[in-house]
Amino acid sequence: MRVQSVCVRKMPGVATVLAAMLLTGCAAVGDTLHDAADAGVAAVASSSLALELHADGRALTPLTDTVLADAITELTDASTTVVELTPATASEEQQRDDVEHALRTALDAVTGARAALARGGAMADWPAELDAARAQLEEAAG
Amino acid sequence: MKKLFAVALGVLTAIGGFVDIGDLVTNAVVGSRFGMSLAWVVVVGVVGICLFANMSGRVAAVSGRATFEIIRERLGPRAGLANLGASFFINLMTMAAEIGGIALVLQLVTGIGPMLWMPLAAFAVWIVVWRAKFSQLENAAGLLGLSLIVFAVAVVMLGPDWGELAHQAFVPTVPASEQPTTYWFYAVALFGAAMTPYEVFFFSSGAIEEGWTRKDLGQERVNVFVGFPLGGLLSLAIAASAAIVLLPQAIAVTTLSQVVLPVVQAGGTIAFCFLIVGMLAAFFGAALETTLSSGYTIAQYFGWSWGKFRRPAKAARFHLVMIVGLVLALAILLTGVDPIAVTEYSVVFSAVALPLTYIPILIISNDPDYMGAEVNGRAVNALGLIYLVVIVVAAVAAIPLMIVSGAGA
Repeated sequence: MRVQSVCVRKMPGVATVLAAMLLTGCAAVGDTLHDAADAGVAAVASSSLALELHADGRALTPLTDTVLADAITELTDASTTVVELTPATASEEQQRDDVEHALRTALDAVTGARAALARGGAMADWPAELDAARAQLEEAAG
Repeated sequence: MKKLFAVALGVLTAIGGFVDIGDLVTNAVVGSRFGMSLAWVVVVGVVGICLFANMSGRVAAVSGRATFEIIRERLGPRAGLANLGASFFINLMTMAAEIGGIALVLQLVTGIGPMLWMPLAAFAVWIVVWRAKFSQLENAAGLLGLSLIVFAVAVVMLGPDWGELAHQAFVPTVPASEQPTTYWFYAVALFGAAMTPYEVFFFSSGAIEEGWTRKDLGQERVNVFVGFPLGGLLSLAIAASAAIVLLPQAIAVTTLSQVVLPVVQAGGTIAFCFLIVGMLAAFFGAALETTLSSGYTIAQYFGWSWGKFRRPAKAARFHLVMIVGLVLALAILLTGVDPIAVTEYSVVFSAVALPLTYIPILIISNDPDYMGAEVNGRAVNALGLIYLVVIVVAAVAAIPLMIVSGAGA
C-alpha cells in the first residue's frame, strides 16, 4: 500500500519544516512524525528507482551513488528530527519509537545498498530490502 | 538572411536561457507533489515576464539607457535604493543557488561531493565574465541550454496518459493529500521563479550591451514573445516528467538527483548526457546573468561606468562589484547550506520583491520624456495593471503563506 500523503516533506528538509512549524507554534508531534515517515518513504522510493535504473543499465554509477547519498542525508535528517521530539503521551512515544525504528531500518538498507554499489558487489537483494523498509515506514506513518 | 539568422539565434537563446535552477527545481517539486495542477501558474508567469521584459527592453532600446539608471533618475534615490536593496539581495541568493546548482550537476557526473566544485564553479563564472564577450557568453549558454528539451522528449517517451495530464492542467484542484495553503504557497513560488527580477535587469542591460536601437524593437519582440513562451513549455515539461514518474511513487522532490530520474528512466544514459549539458549550460548561463546583474544594478544606481562592452579597466567598480558578489555567494554556499534550499527560498523572496522591480518599469515605460511616442499602449497598460495587482497579491501573500504552510510542509 502506498502512502497517500504524497505531500511528504517538502522544502529543504525535515529540519526546516520542523523549524517552520515551531515558528507558527503548531508543531504537533503526530504531524512531525508523519512528515518524517513520509520523507523516509520518498528517500527509499528514490533509492529503489535509482537502483532499478542502474540494474537496467540506464543510470550510471555516479548518479546512482548520488541518489543514494542524498537519500542517506534525508533519512538521517528525518531520524534526527524524530529523536529530538518530546512526546506528551504514551501513544505518541510508541509512535515515535515506531517511526524511528522504521527510519533506522531504511537507513541501514540504503547505506548497505550504497556500500554494495561502491564495492561493485551483488545488488540483487537490495531492492527487496528497500521494499521492506518502505513498507515499515508506511505502516509507521499510519 | 543575416537578419533571419540573428532572429533565430535570439529566439533559441531566449528558449535555452529561460530555465534556471529556480524554474527547474520549483517545477519539479510542484510536478512531483501536485501533478500538473499548477500549470496555470507557469502560463500566468510566462505572460507576465513577456509583458515586463518587453517593456524593459523597449525602454532600453528607445532611451538608450538601462532600466536601473532611469529608475533612480525618475523615482529618486530612495525608491531606487529600495529597488536596489531588494533586487541585489534576491540576485545574490539566486547567484548562490546557480553556482550551487553547477556543483550539484557535476556531482551527478563524477560522484564527487559539491563542496569541492563550488569554488571551481565560482572561479569559472568569474573568468568567463572577465574574459568573454557579452554575445559569446549569452549565445553559448543559451544554445547549449536548449539541451533541456530532453525533458520534453522524455515526457513523450514515457508515454503518459495525456488525458489525465490535461485534466490536471485544465481542471486544477488541490490534491487530497495537500493543504490549500501549501498549494498556494507553491503557486507563489512558481510565479516568483518565472518572474525573477534579475531577468528583466539583465534583459535591459543586455540591450545596451548589444547596442539596441528602435530598429531592433522587432527582433526584441520576437525574442520575448516567441522565445519565452517556448521556454515556458520547457518548464511545463519538467513538471510533467516529475508528475508522470515521481508523483505515483510518492517521491516528493527535495534534491537535484531526483529531478534527473524521470529523464534517465525515459532515455537512459544518452538522455542523461543531454540533460547534464543542458543543466550545466542553464545554471552556468544564469550564474553569469546574475553576476552581471549584480554589477549592472549597483553600477547603474551609483552612476558608475559599466558594461561588458568596456574594457575591465574602464569599468573597474562594475567588475569589483561582481567579484564581491561572487565571493559572497560562494561564502553562503561554503557554510554548508543546501543549494536546493537556497533556490527554494530565493524564488519565494523573489515573489516578495516583485513589486519593487515591476512597478518602476511600468511607470517609466509610460513616461514620454524617456519613451517619446513609444510609451505603452492602452492594452499593454491594462494588462500591466492587472499584473500589478497579481504581483502585489503574490508579494503580500508570500511570507504569510510560507509561515502558515510550514514552508510548504
